[in-house]
Amino acid sequence: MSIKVENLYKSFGEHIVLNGISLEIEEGKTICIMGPSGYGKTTLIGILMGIIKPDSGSIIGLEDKKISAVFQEDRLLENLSIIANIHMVCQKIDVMKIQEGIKALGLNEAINQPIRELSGGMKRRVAILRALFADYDVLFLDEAFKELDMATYETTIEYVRNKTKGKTVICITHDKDEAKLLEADRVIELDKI
Amino acid sequence: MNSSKHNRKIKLWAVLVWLVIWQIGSVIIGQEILLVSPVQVLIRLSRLIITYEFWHSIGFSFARILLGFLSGVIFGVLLAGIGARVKLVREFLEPLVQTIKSIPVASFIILILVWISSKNLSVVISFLMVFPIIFTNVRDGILNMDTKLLEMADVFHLPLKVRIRYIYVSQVLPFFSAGCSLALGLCWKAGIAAEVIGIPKDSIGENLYNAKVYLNTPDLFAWTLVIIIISVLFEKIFLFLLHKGVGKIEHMK
Repeated sequence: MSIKVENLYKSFGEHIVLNGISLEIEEGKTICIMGPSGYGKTTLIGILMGIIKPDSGSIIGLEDKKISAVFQEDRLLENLSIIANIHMVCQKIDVMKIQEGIKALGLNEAINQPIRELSGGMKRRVAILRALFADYDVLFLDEAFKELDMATYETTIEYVRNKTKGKTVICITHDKDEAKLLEADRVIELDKI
Repeated sequence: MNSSKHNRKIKLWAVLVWLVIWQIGSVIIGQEILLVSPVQVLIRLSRLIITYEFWHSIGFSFARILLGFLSGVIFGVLLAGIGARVKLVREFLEPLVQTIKSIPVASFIILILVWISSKNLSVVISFLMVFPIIFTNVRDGILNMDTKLLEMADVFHLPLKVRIRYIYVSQVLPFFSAGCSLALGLCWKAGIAAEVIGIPKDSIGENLYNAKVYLNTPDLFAWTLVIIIISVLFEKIFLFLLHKGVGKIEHMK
């Protein structure tokens, strides 16, 4: 079942952020949402995730779906290790599997370090791993690959692409090449709808 | 923060200098009843610690103050948890908490003595000192939690026990820990003050009272030293166990 967004309005005070947005996202597809800053990309997925209330409009098709996300900020628990942060959202998954993911994204050396000691790019990869290990039908990626250096950027996107096959992925990005690397099925330019 | 911690650190040399000043002062005054020397205090203490009554008094007072402290912590945490979630409960409890905070401890001691026997007076007084501090600190800790982490927990549909273990504990712990540190010192001071007024048999307070009645200054100083040592040791051990326990909870698989 696809996700249907109809006539979504949201304003913060006098500032209208979403002005009657309507769109449809097919199940199992990867959608990239692009657009200049201030066009409400983060607000839109915040509403889809249920953490921001719209002023009006409706969303159909997400009610019984399990969601996962990489937020614009890492939102990790700084005192805990990588494994503890991931284990928090997927208590039933074997730690060995988590360790494999950690290794695949080049975080093996930092496995026992608390998050606060990691670099920005490493924290980003932990946030991505946490989102991928959670049990989900729809994955939201809000500028998930920012802060990644050249060496890890492409391998991380490739890892995400392989792990999300058959799942619905909604990704916010400023970069058209990122959409290509993700092999997005559709790119929605928010300033043109 | 490090600089303020550094400034608060007590240096051994400074303590020794103060002890020397105390010793010189007591020699100059020359009257033990007015200012006993530190050497005399240690001599008196060394005689006290080999008696059964000494340890019995410590056990009596410690057990009651500890009971008051723990019940204050348990009630404070539980009601803060409910209060942080339910505004009505928070508003209902606020006048009570503010009243307890404002009333002088001596008034409480006299009032409680009317209601209950002096034997358990220090339990109630310690409770009344600890409860409002823990309640306020834990409630503020919960209300000031990082909303972005709470949103993350909502998105991932984390069950309550996982939220408590991973998010609430680490976010509220600094508030709880600061509250415990403050409450521990206060409950000892107030608990012993209650015993001095209520004079329950075989308590530290009774010993302090007797020292006052018989103008036994060495005993007064020796017992005061004992109270300080127990209070500091209790605070250090409690906070050490608290942080160790939290570390274990956070890293439990």
